[in-house]
Amino acid sequence: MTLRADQLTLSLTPGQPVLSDVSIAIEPGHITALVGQNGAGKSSLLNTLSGELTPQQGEVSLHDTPIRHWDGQDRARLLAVLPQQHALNFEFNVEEVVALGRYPHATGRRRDNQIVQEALELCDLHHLSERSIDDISGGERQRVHLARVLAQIWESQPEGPCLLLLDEPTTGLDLSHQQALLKAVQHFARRKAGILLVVHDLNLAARYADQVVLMHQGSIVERGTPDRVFQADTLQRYFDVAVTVQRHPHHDCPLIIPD
Amino acid sequence: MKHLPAAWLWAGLALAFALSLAVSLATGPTHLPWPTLIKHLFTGPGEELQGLILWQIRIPRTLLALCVGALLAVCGVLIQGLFRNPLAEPGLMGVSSGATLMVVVVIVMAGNLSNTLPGALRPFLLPLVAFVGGLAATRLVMLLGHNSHAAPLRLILAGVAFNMMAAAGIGLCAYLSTNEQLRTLTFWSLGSFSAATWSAVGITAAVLTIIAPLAYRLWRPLNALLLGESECRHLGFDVPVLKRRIVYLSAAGVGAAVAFTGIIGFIGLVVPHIVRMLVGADHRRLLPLSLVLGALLTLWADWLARTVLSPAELPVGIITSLIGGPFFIYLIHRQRGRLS
Repeated sequence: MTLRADQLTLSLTPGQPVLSDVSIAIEPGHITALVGQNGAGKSSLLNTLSGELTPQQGEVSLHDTPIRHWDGQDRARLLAVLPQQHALNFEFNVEEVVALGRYPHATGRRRDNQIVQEALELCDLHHLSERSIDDISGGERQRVHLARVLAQIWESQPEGPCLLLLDEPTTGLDLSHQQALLKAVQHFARRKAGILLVVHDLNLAARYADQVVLMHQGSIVERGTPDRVFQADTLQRYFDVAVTVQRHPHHDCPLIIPD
Repeated sequence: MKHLPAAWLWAGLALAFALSLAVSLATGPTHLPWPTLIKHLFTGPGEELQGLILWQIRIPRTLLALCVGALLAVCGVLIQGLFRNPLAEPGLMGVSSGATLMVVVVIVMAGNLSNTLPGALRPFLLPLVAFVGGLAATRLVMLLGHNSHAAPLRLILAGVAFNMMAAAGIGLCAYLSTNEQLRTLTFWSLGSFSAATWSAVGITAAVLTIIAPLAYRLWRPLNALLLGESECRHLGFDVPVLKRRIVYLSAAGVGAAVAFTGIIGFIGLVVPHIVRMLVGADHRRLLPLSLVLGALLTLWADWLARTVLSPAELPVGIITSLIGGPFFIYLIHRQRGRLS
């Protein structure tokens, strides 16, 4: 088991739980998509899994050790997080930002540089590597930060497989880069990384996820393969919108069309 | 933007450093010709007036300006990194005025305090008091302006509010002070190196020798902190411990600087900016280059302060503010595109 949470309860203000009795496991080699309405608790769950928020009840454990017992640097070599927003007020160039992902490691400058170049290549950023992070578009910046977290978990560690938590990584990306980002993530899943993806686009979840977890009002209400979770009546109940679910003409996955 | 290779910059700075040292030692109300200067540099003060001027006035003053400038610039880098805001500086965040307020309160309200201490400890009283004041001010400003998100505006506003209150406190002390104390207060609030002594040089140099390597060791977490606090945490750094270290280091640095020279504004703001424009924001280069450039700029400011109206001299704080103010306005203009 890679990253698991048992019966989490989290309240940010007393008496108003944002998570209640949530259990989830992120398996190595799998992409888990976390879906749900705004305010369903997806980001709170992600932040609890990363150890940033401490639950009132329950426990998050990484490779069978409670996450709060991990040394920061050891944890960072195994677990990378891509948040929704990025604040960088200073002049770093693209390559320098990606290189920040190598800080938890002691693999030496040559190896680090090699990984940074490969991560830039994978995220289609090579032509931008010398540009200031201030001068590029929002979508390009999102890819720079993806390259940074990928560089952070580029190689498996002796303690076990790596984990990547992504909070709405496709927001603000054009169609081709949405696909490219998820292909890069899939590539990491094949290399045994465990991936948790908070995503609003259900068709992206249907196409790329191995497991879908549906949250509603702070609880997990459905989980399973995309085919199991993405059924018209389930989606209507939890998203308050009528949908038609068909088969994707080219891929073996459901295709969700709002009515 | 293309940045300069660091080697060129270091070579240029080394050259400027040597020239500035020579000029600073040679010029002043009494001109020291080169042969005299070199002779006394190697033979010590001796009995002659020129030797005494060199060893009792020029050298300590030059060294103090270098140490204080280096401290202010390094603390400027630390504070800007802490607040993730290139417009932050120790002065804006209340460190300088907190340190000054404490020193002024001690001078006016507890003038006899230093007499109660054993002689050997007396030179340490004001630096210690300034350190405590600077630390308390930074903590207070961080508490008042606390904000979990990346909006540093509240911190700056809290700093402005604290600076006003400190100014009121300093004003009150001025009102209550005797004539002699008032002169000391003016000295503190405008900044000057005229009271440079070897013990002041020793203490600031010691503080600099301790703080500079400790600050340099933080270059990785400081870089990571620029991404935001949670990203810094995800990269494996203990953010609360890091922030505490930055606060203590900058309070100690600014405290030591302020303790002997009073408030010298804008060095901590302007120097990291110039260096960032030259070599980028990476703290591995930013910290050491700011240290050297801060030392140099402060030496030049002091040189101007004592030569413009020679034999009278201006408080160096007036010079740095005169140059730093317009530069600050320029920075706000440059930032406007990004902030909106």
